[in-house]
Amino acid sequence: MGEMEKNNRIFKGILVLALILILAGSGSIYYFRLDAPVFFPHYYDLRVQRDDMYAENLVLRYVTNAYDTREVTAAQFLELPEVMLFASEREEAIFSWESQEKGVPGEIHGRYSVRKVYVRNLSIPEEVQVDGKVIRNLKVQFDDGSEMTVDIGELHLYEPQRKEEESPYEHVSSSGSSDGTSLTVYRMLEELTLTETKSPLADKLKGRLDWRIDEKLPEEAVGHVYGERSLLNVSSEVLPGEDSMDAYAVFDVHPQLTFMDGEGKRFTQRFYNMRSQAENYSFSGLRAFIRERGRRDE
Amino acid sequence: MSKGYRKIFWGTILVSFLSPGGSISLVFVLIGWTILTSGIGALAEHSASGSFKRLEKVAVAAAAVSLVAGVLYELLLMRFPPIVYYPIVVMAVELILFHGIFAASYEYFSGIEDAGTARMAEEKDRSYMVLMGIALVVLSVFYTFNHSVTGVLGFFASLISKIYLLGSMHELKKACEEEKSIEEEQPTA
Repeated sequence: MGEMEKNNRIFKGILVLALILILAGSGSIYYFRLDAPVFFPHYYDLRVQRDDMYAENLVLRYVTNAYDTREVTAAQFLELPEVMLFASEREEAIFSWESQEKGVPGEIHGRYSVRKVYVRNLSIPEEVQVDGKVIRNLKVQFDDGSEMTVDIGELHLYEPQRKEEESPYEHVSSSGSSDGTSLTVYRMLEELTLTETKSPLADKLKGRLDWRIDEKLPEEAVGHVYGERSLLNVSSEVLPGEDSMDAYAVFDVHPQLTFMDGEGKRFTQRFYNMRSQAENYSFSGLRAFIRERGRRDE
Repeated sequence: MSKGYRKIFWGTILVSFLSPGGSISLVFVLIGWTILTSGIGALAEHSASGSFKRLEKVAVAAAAVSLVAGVLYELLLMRFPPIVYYPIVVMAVELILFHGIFAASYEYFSGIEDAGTARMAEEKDRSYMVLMGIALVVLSVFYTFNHSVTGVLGFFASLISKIYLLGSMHELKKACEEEKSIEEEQPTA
């Protein structure tokens, strides 16, 4: 029976190993478990449309436990309580019967899942003034009836300016690349002076976005005089960020430049294509982000 | 004896390759466990020691664990996260059962002084346990961290251990058949 006794020892060893693995695994599950979803910081310049119901889709991202079955169904900006927003975690599904996806949404990374919330119907009633409004807090409702208020980052709302007169510059080209670079070129039709650059989120995105006007930092470019037919190049580059909070920040900024002509008339122009790219999330990266966020919230 | 191993072989196929998910596969898994248990019963009829008889109860317990855990999985996923390890528990219960079958087979073949088949049972048992051990480790890493590479490795490790188990049952069946034909050709005086 000697050989079989050896087998019995292996058998017992494997059973003990299975038990240890289950206990250690269960311990890890509880150790990494989040009490509540954690939203990534969002830095958006958000154009508000008045006429088109589905004009702008605001996409917000958060991290929750893997296989969390709760889904966000509604959202409300605390700074704009009169505006109720429709939210869904299903792309292109405004009504439930349009939903194609089945199962729990999200991208699973280890014990966590990165989820996207599509906030729709960002049309705001005429009587509500939003230009220049900053949103920092969002109340989200889940399909199980629970709700939570989260620090969303900073959403800077603005209304597009109506163009009444002919522009003193013309658009030449715009490009955005998946490597995070973008370039927009305008041609000046008359002599213009750059008098102001406005990008309220620049400070928040120091480690993530480098944007330049003709290769110069925006503050250095102010005062530059553009001759007739000269070109204005606005370029940007997405940077990886210094820490996990920075790295996982979600942004889409639209800096505004103000020009003045010889008669003292001002013209403003927004620039686009400066947004964070699809992230390469990882379990360790998400873990570092959650810890950093928790430390800062304390 | 060969009938018993044949039933275990077919029962294992139904149990292993149809995880209890939908109601139809649940029926097949139930049929699989029934065939497997009756196979052990058939072995028990030919064995004097009672080891196979005890394994019938283990088989019923293994069937209950695999069916109940499979059904509860969806219901408990959010409320009781360690339920993700139910396949590990099922594998461990299967290991208890099949190690038992190998050990009882070893005992039986040693009893009838067929040392070659007894040694084969003992060796197959050991290799099967090592394969299952590897699958358990790799799969538990996968269930904990949802790591796709370990998921694929774990799937193949458990597939290989199942195929190895089926091959072993087939060889034990063949050994019994050979023994029977030798007995028929050379009846003992």
